[in-house]
Amino acid sequence: MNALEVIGLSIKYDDVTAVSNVTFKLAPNQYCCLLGPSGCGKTSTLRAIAGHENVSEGDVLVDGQNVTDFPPARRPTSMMFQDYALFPHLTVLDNVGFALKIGGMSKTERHAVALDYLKKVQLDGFSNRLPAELSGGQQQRVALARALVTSPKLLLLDEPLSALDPFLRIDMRAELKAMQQSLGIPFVHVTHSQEEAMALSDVVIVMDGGQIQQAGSPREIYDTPANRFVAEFIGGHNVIESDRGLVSVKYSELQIHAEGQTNSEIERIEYLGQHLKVSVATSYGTLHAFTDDKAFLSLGMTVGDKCNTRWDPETEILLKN
Amino acid sequence: MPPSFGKGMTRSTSSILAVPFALVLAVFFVLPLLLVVVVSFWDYTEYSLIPDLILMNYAELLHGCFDWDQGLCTTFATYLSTFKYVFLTWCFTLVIGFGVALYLVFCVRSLKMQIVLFLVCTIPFWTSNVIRMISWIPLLGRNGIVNTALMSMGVIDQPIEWLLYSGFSVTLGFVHLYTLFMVVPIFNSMAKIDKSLIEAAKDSGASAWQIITNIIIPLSRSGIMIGSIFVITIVVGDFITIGVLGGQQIASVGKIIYVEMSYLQFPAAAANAVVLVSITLLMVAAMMRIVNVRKEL
Repeated sequence: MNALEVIGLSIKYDDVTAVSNVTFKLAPNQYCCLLGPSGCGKTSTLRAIAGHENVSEGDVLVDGQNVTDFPPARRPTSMMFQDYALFPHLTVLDNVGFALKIGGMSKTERHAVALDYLKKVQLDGFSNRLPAELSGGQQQRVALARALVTSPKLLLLDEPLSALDPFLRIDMRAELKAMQQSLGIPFVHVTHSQEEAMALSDVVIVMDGGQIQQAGSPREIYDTPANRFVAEFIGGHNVIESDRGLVSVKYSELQIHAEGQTNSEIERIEYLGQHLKVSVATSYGTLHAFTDDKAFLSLGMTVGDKCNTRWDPETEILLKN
Repeated sequence: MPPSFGKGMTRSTSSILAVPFALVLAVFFVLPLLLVVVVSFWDYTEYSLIPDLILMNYAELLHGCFDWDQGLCTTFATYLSTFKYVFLTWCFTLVIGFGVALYLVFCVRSLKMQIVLFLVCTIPFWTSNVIRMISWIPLLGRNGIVNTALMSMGVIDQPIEWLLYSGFSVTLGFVHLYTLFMVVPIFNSMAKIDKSLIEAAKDSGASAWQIITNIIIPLSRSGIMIGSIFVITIVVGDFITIGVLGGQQIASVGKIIYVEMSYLQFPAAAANAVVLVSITLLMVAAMMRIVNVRKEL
């Protein structure tokens, strides 16, 4: 059985279509990222799964049950909000125990359960603080504990890492993944960062203009982008109008040589640590190459030099538009 | 060093900036209040005020009040009646004001519509207080619209007497006049509630009523408190509404003060005023203890 099934989902506001005909499935224990630029419909899709958005057409099935017409309260899903939406007047413990209080659990019992969840996110020492007295990373853990306290069958995360600083983001990313694996429920995570999606996902769903552009494992997406949008959004791909049609050549497949027919000029060289990113002006426009720094520096070339740029036609990936 | 503003503002510059308003308060509020306190210790006759330091005005005010077998003294009975209206008005304005603010903030989706409806709420303020009071009279009177309508529909045979010049009409008048003082501050604090908190509560399974009691009320309590202070302090000293809509038959502290003034018994009126102001201040202080309004603004 699929843990989540979204079938032909469309969301329309007055005359604007935010999401059109989105269909995907998730197996239990899959980490899924909805990836796309702002306004692509990824957040609307997430909110529709949570029940916070009116669905115009289509169905949402969680754990085999059609929940399309259920209010959020009746869905076995739980959502973690972008700015965490912690209740500012309640302590950390009461924030985590909120859903249990609503469910009618007694005070001592719910405090015990909430404390268990706070332990899971290593915040049991902070139970009597107010959210405003916590750092961004700590608030995020409280939000995670609060979302998990109802034992949901599906966790929905709306840009959970965007408010954190870069180092914390990488730490929390690993913690989210570990949490997902230990719980064994699917996470659906909305992000606009392809790096985040690549690092976390079992399934990446790339969206643009309210539609799914491509869905697959990070490797499939990166190795065989379906179209121009995916190739450009995912990064690391030169999109070239060749004789065969629209193709993509990865930065790592583009070669720059000092000998041979000069067909290009070096525009920019960026040192990125593991490798160099060299940008060259060609008749196809500006193309980029990742090259080994030692090998490239031994050529003795610098910005403004003419060079020969080529690639193996075998490495071309055929794109739809 | 030139004076700096904003972040680098020193203690002394900010005190200097506060001086003009402090002066206004001192001249128009503190000074008159002190005068009232001073006059409350004066002596008086039918035609003159005699500067003195006597407790007679306070003694007369409390005359017979601790003589329990005589029944409730006039002062206590008047305070009781006044606080009855304060309490009733507070209850109704709070429920209605909270409801209106809740509707405006959470049910009206577009900001434009919110502003329009908010302005509609202020329309009654385009006319004076007294006119708004008096306009109830043709509606509620013995031969007023309500009675005539009910009689022509056959619901009643005789005009309802308690519609006008009664506790009912006084309460109705107060609620009509002062609900907006409740709506505005509550609206203000509700508007600051992040909408995602409501969604988070829904996500946790909360019903509409649970969201109101668990999230919205605690987060709008500073507005509730400010609105309550407005309404309570206004109604506690009222004598016009009680006079006009109570048919001059209902006692209130404000009315006693007014009557004493008209008989030129200024020291007695001042003593009454001092007691009323003290009680009101105690109430406000108690309310401020419950909610730290300063912290939440």
